[in-house]
Parts: sequence; C-alpha cells; structure tokens
Amino acid sequence: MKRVVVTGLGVISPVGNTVEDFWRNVVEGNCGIGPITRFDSADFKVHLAAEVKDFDPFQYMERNEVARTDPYIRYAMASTQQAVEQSGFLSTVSPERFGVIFGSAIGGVTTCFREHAKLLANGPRRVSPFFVPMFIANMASGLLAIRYNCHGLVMPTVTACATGASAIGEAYEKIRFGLADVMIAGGSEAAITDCAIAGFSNMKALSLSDDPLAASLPFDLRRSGFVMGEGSATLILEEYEHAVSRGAPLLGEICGYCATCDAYHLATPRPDGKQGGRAMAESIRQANWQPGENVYLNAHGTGTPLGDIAESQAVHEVFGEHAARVPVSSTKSVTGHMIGAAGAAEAIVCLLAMRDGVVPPTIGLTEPDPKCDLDYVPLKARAFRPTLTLSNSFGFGGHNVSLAMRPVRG
Amino acid sequence: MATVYSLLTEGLAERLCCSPSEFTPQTTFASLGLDSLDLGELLIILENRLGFEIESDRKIGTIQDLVDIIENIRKKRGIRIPDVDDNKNADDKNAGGSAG
Repeated sequence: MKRVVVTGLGVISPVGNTVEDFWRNVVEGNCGIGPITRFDSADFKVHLAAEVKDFDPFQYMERNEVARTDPYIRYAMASTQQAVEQSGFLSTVSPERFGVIFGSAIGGVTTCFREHAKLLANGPRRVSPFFVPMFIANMASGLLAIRYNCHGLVMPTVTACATGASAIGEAYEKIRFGLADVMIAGGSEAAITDCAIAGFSNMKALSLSDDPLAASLPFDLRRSGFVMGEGSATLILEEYEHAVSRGAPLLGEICGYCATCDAYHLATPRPDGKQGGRAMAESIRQANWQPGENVYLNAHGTGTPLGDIAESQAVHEVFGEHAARVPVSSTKSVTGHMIGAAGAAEAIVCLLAMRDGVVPPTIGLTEPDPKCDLDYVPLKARAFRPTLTLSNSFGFGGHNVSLAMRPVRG
Repeated sequence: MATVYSLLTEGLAERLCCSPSEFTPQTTFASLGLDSLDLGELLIILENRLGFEIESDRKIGTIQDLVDIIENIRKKRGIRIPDVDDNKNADDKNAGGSAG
C-alpha cells in the first residue's frame, strides 16, 4: 500500500475565500450566516443562509468560461486553482497518472431553475444550449480535467452531504492502491436558491431562526435544523514518495477512510448511529489509533435534533471510555452547511488543527443537550495538538463517511 | 444607427463582457474562444432581440457570415427589424432618398 499525503488546499466559503481567511474565522468563531440575499425570502419560513461573499470568478476564469458555468463550477475552479498553486505538482506528474474526483451534491440548480423559467415563459427555443453542461454534477470534475490536462480517472461523487468526504476517500484509495500519483479531490455547492431552500425547508431540515448567531446550533438543546451554506473545497492528494521527491509541501497524511450506509431511511439517520460509528471505527483502525493519544473529531454535527444525538452515541461506542477526552467540534456552527463542499472543507479544518495545535470551537453552544454529552469545545478554540484527526460526513441516502488524518511523519 | 452587425456585436459583447469595438466583420468566433454551444447561446440572444428564428445549415465562421445569414432570412421572409429598418428609413429620408 502507498502512503497518501496532502500537498495543496483551497477553499471558497461563507467565512473566507482563501484557506487562511477561512481557517482564521473558523478558529475565531466568526459566523458566516446572514440574511438571504440571493432571492427575496419574504414569503419563506427560512430567512438565513451562509452565503459566499465577495467572490470574484474573474480572478480565476476567463470571461467566457464564467458565462458558460454555473456558480458551483466557478467555486470549484477557484478552490482548485488555489490548491494546485500551493501544491505545485503540475509539471511533475504524467497526465495518465493524475485524476480528479470532485463532486457536488446537487449540481447546477441555479442554472436549472433559471432555464426552466425561460422554458415556461418563452418556450423551448429560449433554453440555453449550456443548460445541460452547466447543470450536470460531473461538470466540475470534467472542466478541472480540461484545465489541468488530466487523463486519468475523472469522476464526481454524489453522496449528498458526504460528497466532499467521499471524493477525498475515493481519491485516497486510488493513490493508496497504486492507481494514480496525484488526485484532485473535493466538493462544491451553490444551491442557495428559492426552490432548493423551499424543498429543504419543507423537509423540516432547516433552522427557522432569524438570529444569525442562534441558527446553526449543533449539539445545543435549541437546535432545530441546519443553515444552508455553499462554497467549495479542494485537496491535492499525492503519493508520499512522489511528493517528497519533488519537495512538495506536506500538509498532512490521509491514514484511514471508510464509507458505510444506514440502509434505513431516505433522510433520517439511524437513531443508534451504528453505521456511522462503524465508518469511524474502521477509519481509526486503518490509522492505527492508540488509546490515550490526542484525537480531534470534526463532527458532521449539522444541528438537526436526531443527527447530533446519533453521532454522539456513535462516538461513545467507538472510543468507549476515551470518548470524554476527544474534543469534538462542528465547523457548521460557523460556516453553515456547505453541503457537497462540507466534507472537504472540514477535512481542511482537521489538517490545519494539526498544523497549528489548535482545535476550533462549536459556536453558539450555550445550552448543552443532555443527550449530547461529549466535549464539543464550546464557544472558544482550544490549544490542543492532535496526533490523529477524524472528520465525519453523513448524507441523505444514509451515506456515512469517516476520514482519518495524521501529521506527516518521515 | 442600428444595423444587423451592430445588434450582433452588442449581443456578443454582452456575452463576453467586453466592448463591441473589439470586433470586426472578419473576426472569427473561434478566435474569440467560442464553440458551437456559444454560438447557439448567441443565436438565442439575437433571436430575442430580432423576434425571429435564425435557422441555417450554412457554416458560420465569422461575424460577417452570421450577418449574411440573418440578412438572407430577412430578405426571403420579408421580415422587418424595427430598430434597423426604421432608422434606415429615417436616414434615407434625411439623405433625400425615395423611401416612404
């Protein structure tokens, strides 16, 4: 088996459009949630979202590229350009040994609804020839392959809220099993649209709070659902020897990945969290977890009433008597739920927690739920140097993904 | 004065976020990095402005090719474009022409 390291990071998020801005705001607990500006939400029950701010696609794309891409693709191109530039791998890998696994949970819904409105108003002749390529959820991976001349495996993952984590896990295995030297991995989402918000809202999945600082409340007794976010996150995964031989930045090592399925309900997690727990247990087994070592867990922690309890129970099952000593935080308290990008953005949080020796907080957690009884790092970041980090991502459809990461050792 | 050429280049400029003065009749769509899908999108923009469908089997390489196609459709079907023809008539009148 090959070792797999991370050599580049990139992010576009509700709390910053560079990795360092994102990380600073996550650590400081500067919440990215605010009133919805993408459409008039007056008639909606939901009025808050975590929108990406001040994003300039022309910083990353030619003008006609911008015109022919959905926002989810623009975010993907931007976060990936950041990661590729940091990694510097481009001239060192043959196109055949280089792949892309980059997903989106929903794809280009902004485009979909806009073109559908044209169809209804003016007939089929007015639907853009770009409707399909802008809408389909594999197009971010396809366009990334074109931009970076990648001739290896190129595909998306579509596992709802676990999309970004699935992409990293699958890309990790491609390198681990010797099938590629470099993989671009991550996820992107841009679904803060009227119809998507209405749909999530009618599922009772979203918080109805009008207070941005009391809306995304993972593990808090007042939690009532997640806050729709958006953005993109990219990791460059690279075979260890390949990275070392070219003097690449070594930002962390992926040491474990497991995906399981609840096979229980289309949207509700299994109440006992058993399959999520199995993903965690297998992931830390691969990473050779030693009882007593410093572990940080970046929870899926969306702030839904059932999901947070199930995840907490699973952590107890996996870590047993050690669970109380595992700091657990939810980045979604700060970023909202970046949906298909969340798993990748939260993997970045784990890597930077190990780099800086600090674990970020779960903000807004002032009324603990007795059924959620772990150390959730409430309100403020904490100095803590993990030797093992775990990132959980669970998605509608029962997808459970857990990724284990460690600092790179020689 | 609006012409088919100016309507076309304005539509193109809108699509590419640039100025119509960057184009000439001989500018090829390929040189602007535009493919057949972009051309399809441009035709929709133009059809919205002109009010008729632009269907043709002819190869469209340059801006002038597309202008010629539009003018041919107009001629064949006797379609007037208010912005273009009204201005033309007004100009002809001002020049002492026989129109009207």
